[in-house]
Amino acid sequence: MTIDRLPSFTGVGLKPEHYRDVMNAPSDGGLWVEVHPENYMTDGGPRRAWLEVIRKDRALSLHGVGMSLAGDEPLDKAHLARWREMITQFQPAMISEHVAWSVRDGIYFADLLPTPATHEALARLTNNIDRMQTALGRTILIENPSLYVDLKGEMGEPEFLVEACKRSGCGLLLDVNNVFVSANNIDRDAHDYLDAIPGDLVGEIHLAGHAPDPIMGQALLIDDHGAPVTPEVWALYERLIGRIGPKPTLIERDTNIPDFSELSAEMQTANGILHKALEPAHA
Amino acid sequence: MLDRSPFHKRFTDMLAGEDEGITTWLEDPTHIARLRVYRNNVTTAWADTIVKNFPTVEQLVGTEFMRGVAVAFVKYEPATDPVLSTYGDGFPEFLDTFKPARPLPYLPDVARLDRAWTEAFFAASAPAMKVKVLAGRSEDEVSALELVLHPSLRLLPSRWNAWEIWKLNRAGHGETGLTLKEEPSWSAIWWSPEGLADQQLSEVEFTFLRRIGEGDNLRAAMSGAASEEDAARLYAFFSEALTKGMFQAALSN
Repeated sequence: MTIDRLPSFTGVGLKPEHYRDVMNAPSDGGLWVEVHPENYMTDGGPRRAWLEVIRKDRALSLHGVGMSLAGDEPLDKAHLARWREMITQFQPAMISEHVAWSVRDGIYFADLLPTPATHEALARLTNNIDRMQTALGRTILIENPSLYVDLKGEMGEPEFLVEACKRSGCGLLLDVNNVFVSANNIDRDAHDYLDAIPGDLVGEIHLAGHAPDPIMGQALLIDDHGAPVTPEVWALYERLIGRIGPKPTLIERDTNIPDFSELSAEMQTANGILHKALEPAHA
Repeated sequence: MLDRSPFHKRFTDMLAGEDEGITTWLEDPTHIARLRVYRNNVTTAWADTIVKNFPTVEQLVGTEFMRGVAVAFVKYEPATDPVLSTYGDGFPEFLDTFKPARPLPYLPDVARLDRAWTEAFFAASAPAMKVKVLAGRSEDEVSALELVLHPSLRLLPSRWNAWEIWKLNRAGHGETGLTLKEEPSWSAIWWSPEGLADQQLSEVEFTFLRRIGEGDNLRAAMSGAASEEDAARLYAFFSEALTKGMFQAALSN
């Protein structure tokens, strides 16, 4: 198994509101798309038809939200089977999931719940990544979480993630907004965090916006994917790309979906940073 | 295989409202107040899905009431599957028993129509049976055909004029000029070759389609017609249903 590659340009989280815009966007610009496969795991319907059309011209990334890799139960075999069907049908260039859990005792919590960074949790996570990769016959990327509480752990989060990657052979989907949100919420240093991530593990980057908690304000940022990428996150991204080089980068917006032109402008900003990293350094 | 984890148990208890167990896992004890974010996220994600999956119910009862009933429902029937497109199977039955909704007795049937729309929307894509399949067959041969309903077709009976109420409100027009009638009605929702379609049926038409769905051949399915006139009307409906794509295939035995 090898890490499948997306183009080192920007992609966009594909929303039904933008199907037509994406279909009509020039296909030579490298624009790729990412979807949550759970939204397409249906018998039929127009969403799947749209995805088939869009997929013809563009690289596709399937970014799962329901595998519960950091859970304490065996992975759901029926859900793995649906993943396999999606892979057969849509031939994604990339597959990813979250370092989070969402299923327990038959309930799907529809949220990305946190895991403490303990040795036991690392063993569970690694085991589940291995099972998912084996079941799908593909290498996956795992995404760093955004945290609202500081959980007692036995190692730092970068160490936890890097070790999971090394043990399972998976790669990392580095969400820079999540790094910023967590750093703000639980008082850690975003630069130190990013500097601890080896660039060769990073297969994809996510950029999104966040919102202050309605009660606690800036002290607690909520990763709601409902606003443009903030200047602080752009700065972290630029510094990161300067260090590790260009990586496929996704602009994500899951709530308050704007006109496609607004997301295009953010993609242009990211593409500018990616291109700059390709230029030879000035003497 | 590792044992179940005490952390996950305590976190799940916290989501159900018991904060105490999880506190030993918090590096900063003041963070206990932040756990509401996870509780809110879970309830909101479930409730938002219900609101989204039952838009006509929301149109009829208003956003505030809908949110209230959705939150009550998700506590009663939490999501069990990461595929949320079809979450809310039990919502119409829940409305049947939900006291604050009793003044709106047609509401559960409107919810059933919303549910049927969702099921039809995500049903397996399949070409509709072509009219030419019947060409060159004798009347007896046609009568002996076993038809397969289109996989998207959903049939709904109601004690009320639920389809009429649903139709007007699904489009967001409000119920202006519409009177609630306690009189039975029947309807169908399906993917026609022109897109998602719905229409009111007579009881005879409804029974005809239901019997086809149960495996009756065309002759048996039409036996519900009480008179020759009825039979002629039902045959005309069969032709209409065929043209509109309510069938997927014909099996001759």
